[in-house]
Amino acid sequence: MRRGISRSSLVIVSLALALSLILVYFAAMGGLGGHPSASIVGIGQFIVNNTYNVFNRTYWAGSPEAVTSIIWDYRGFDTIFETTVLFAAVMAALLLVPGGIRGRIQGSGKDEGLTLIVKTASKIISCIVVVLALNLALRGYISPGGGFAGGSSYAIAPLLLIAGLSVFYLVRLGYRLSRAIGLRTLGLVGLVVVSSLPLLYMGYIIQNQAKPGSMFPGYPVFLGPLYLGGSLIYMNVFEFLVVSMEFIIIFIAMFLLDRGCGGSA
Amino acid sequence: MIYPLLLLCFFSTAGMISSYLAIREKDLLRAIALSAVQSVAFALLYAVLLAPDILLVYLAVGLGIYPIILIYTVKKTRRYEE
Repeated sequence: MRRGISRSSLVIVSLALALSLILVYFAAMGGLGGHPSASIVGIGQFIVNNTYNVFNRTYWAGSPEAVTSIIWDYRGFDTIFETTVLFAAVMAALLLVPGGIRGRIQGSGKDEGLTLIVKTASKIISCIVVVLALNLALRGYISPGGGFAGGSSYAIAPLLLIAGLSVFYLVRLGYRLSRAIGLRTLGLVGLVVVSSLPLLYMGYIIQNQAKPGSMFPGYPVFLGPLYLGGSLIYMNVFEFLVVSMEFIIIFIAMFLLDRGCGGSA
Repeated sequence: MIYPLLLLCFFSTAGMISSYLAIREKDLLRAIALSAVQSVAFALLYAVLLAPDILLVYLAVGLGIYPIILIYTVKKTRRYEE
């Protein structure tokens, strides 16, 4: 038995190594995109040259983080439609919840959850996760991160508390289905307002900075000593709100479906 | 140029091995832990490929949300596969 396991693991290790070596060989021959076609190189050069070009602000995004600039400025439509897809998925999940959006969790949860060690550890880790997620979301226009990364990181904290303690602990902390839906709606309204405000100034939708052919002066990049990064910070904060609350809605809905309780009591 | 390729080779091998072990494992909790190891290996692949934005989302989903949901599911059913 022992011999068989070691032989099969040897086979799988050598197979995996051979496959990776083949992959790396093709990567070394330029399969990773070392020599992309000339038309794509132009887009990359445009973004690198213009994202934070303080000398020529014609096409700049006001943020040194090129990825966030692409996500929320140059290719803003893609992100808006991604948010729409997630919105539709969460709405479909909510339709299945017994008791609708007023669904409540009944019970006390006295003898639920795991041991005391796991409970304490999940409380501490969830605090750290919340701080990290807020950091990712709020600094997403300077360093890697952003609304989606921050929101999905934030969602780990209530999920840990559900798994380690119980869903009643979350309810006592103030997490409610109706409250999460309200906050998500607030985030969506914020996204719509920020992306359509330039239209009032005869600008483009999801416009960040001033562009030729548009009257919109652009969102403020500097506010005194503060560095704001145009509309990217608002977009990241509202996307953070939307994504984190949508994950929490899914988790609470999962629990309500599991228990089969709810009702509008 | 050679060091990123070596790291690519190492992390993709580690991810492949741990996903194979996760499939073979009969103890479902250990299988979840092994697939989390695979997530770490793939997240480090993104780091090698200079995509830190995707790395952050991948860490949150692959190491946080996905194992916890699976552990919650295992808690509702059985721990050992027959």
